[in-house]
Amino acid sequence: MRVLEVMFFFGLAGSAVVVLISFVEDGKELFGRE
Amino acid sequence: MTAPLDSRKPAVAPTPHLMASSRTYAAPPSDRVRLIVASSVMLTFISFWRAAAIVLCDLGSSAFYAGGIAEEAVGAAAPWFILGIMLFSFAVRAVYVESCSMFTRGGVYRVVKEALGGTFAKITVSALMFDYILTGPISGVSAGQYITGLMNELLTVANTSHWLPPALMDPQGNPFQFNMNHTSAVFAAVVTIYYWWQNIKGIEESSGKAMQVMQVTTAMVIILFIWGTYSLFMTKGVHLPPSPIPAHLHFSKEAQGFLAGHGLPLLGLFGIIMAFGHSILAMSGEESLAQVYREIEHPKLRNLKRAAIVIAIYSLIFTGGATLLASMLIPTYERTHIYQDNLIAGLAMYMVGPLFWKIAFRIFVVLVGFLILSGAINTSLIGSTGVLMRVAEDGVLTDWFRKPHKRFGTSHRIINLTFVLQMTTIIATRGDVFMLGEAYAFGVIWSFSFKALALLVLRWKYKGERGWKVPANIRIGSFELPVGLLSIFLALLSISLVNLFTKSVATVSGVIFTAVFFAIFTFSEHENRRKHAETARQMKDQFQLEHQDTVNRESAAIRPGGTMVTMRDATNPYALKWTLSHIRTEEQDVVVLNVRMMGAGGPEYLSAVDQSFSDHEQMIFTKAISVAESFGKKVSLLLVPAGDVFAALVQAANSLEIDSVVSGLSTAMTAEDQAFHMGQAWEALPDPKRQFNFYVITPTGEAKVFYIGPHAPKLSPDDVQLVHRLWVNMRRDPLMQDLHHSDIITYALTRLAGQYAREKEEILRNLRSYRSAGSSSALRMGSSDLPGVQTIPPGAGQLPKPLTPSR
Repeated sequence: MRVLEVMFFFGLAGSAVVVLISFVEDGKELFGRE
Repeated sequence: MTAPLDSRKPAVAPTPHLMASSRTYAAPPSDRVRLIVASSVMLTFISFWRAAAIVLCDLGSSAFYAGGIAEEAVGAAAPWFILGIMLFSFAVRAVYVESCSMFTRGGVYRVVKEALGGTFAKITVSALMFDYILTGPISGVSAGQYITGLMNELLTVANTSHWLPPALMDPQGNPFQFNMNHTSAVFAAVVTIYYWWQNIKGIEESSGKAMQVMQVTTAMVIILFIWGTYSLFMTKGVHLPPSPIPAHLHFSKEAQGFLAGHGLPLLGLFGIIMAFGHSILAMSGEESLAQVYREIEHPKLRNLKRAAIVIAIYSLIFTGGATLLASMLIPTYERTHIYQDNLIAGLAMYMVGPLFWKIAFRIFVVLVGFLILSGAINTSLIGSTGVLMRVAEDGVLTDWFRKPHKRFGTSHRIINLTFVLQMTTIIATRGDVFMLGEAYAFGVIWSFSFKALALLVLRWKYKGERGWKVPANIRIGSFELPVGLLSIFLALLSISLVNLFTKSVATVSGVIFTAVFFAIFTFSEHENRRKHAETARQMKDQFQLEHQDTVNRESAAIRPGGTMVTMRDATNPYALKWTLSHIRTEEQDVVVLNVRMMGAGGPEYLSAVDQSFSDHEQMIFTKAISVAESFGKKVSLLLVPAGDVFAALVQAANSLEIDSVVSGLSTAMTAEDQAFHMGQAWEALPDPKRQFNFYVITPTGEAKVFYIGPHAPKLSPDDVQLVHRLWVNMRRDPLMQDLHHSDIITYALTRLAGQYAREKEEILRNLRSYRSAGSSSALRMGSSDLPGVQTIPPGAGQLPKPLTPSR
């Protein structure tokens, strides 16, 4: 149970970083110049 | 085999002397017939908007049921978990973009096979099949819930207004109410049967339809949010759902699965994982992104990213936002006991405004729900057929599954298998959306987990081109630690493992389903390996196989102006017989073409080792040779993989500089429909493109010829007379002595074009009434006349020369 919790915690934290970076990249993709 | 009449030579087309480096050969004895096998799949490409619309028709449909299912499982805090999942879907989307940047068909099967091997790939694709099979029933049943809920509401309103006839009331005066689950199940079954038949007939995959559905859905979403926000401000006592902390989680007995009754504390982070697990179905449909990638236009990767952004933002707003609004506007009892399976319909009823408008909006919601959810049933049939076709092409399913339908040419056995499984699911669950949702999550989460793991392995194993990587990579010297990808995998794996214990229905049904499919795949693959080796040996004995990246006239050694005959059925080659009886092959080359249909999500490129011939293909080419030999004429053989048969025909005709394409009359459509589809495909072809004649041959030997591409219209004697009369009159003017008939037509058309640009509607209206008036001199623009149709009776001599085949 604890192992799953640790996996999930680190997984979610890292995924949040991916999502944040994705937002920045998406912004550039949508509003940046061709 | 019958020997040709004029010589003992076999029916072999000339072999080119110069061979490009991209071609591979099977050591050819000279008497074997050359069979060119194209590696590039002939596709038509779509914009990222259309690609996003196709994916959203699947992904967006979960907005209609995910919120209700999640709340039933975890309690009132569910909207936050749905929102969390939709945010997490941005990360999962990144996994799909990276996989597509490596492989054009970056779906689960290909990626897992590359990384972890065939066994894991078969397990994963079995789990994915579970996802696809359940997409149909859950979407159909959910649409049924919306429609049944509306019917019951209308009966109640009619009763309140004293409009209901006594026959629809019980002795206590209550209105008749349909059983929600059973009626929904019947509805789901009817729609599934409808789409099953459409797919058997060969439904057109239309990104245009997906765009229209998403435009209507967007209109609903905009109204929903504007009216919903207004209602939030106008309603007293509205508050956000309880925060997503363990103390606010209230798991139902079903949501605890195998852990129920064991006294385990389902609190803390473990409870949060459980809640995420029960909300994961909100992001089902991501796999469609990988399936649609091969059809996205250039620049592919950039457009894929754009499509992925549109999809992620749209589903975050729609699925996440609608669930949140519903939890704030609909009172708890009504939300959890009346509208739990048709949440957005409930939302419409709790807007602030007159009852008439609320019911009108609810009808609109039900209409949109019907469109998108019934579309998802079709997507699930197409998607699961595509996945099974993909594994069949890989030799993992026996040829029995690939055999085309005798009349419609579709992969009917695969479609039937999917249909039977979906109908069984609908009957077994009897319209219980919660049970379906619980089971559904199994396929979704495990296919994601395997995919993320495979991609992680490929970070070290794969050395080929990779257009993009999931961000957050830490470089330590030459070693790169994929922190982002590893995190996504850990999150997915932890949710998958917890789901195994908390979703008992999903675990039991999912494991059984996966095991059965895995066994079928393993057995089929074993059988196929033996059989395909034999077929490959026979093909090599019989044909001089030549694999070419792309087909062109020079490499195929075809003279310009040849004739291409399509052949789909080995038992009835009347189109080929008709062609050979009308063509002198010394003057004109004849190419026999068979299109290998690739399912949705199929590849963009098939290398020589990827191409295994089915018994069916072998029979077709053997028959073609036998027919050619009986006429004593030579033919060339060509096999092209394609996503759309008409696109393949026009692309091949264009590449080979063909003047005439000959096809047998379809059993599913008229000759005019065949010509219309051919014309549509021709219009979609990029320049430069050639015009050609399209002959449709009936089994009795009658031929209809259509001129594909712009061509001179047929003018009736009346029209010619009219032009001439005008010319005579106008020439009386002394300054018009050098006037030609063509000047009059040019002037008239230029004027019409200018007028059409200004007064489009009026011109069209006049044209319609002019045509319906049936005037003898009316413009003949009927479906048969527009493509320039001409009928050639049976037994006519040489093939007529094309009217205007030119670049």
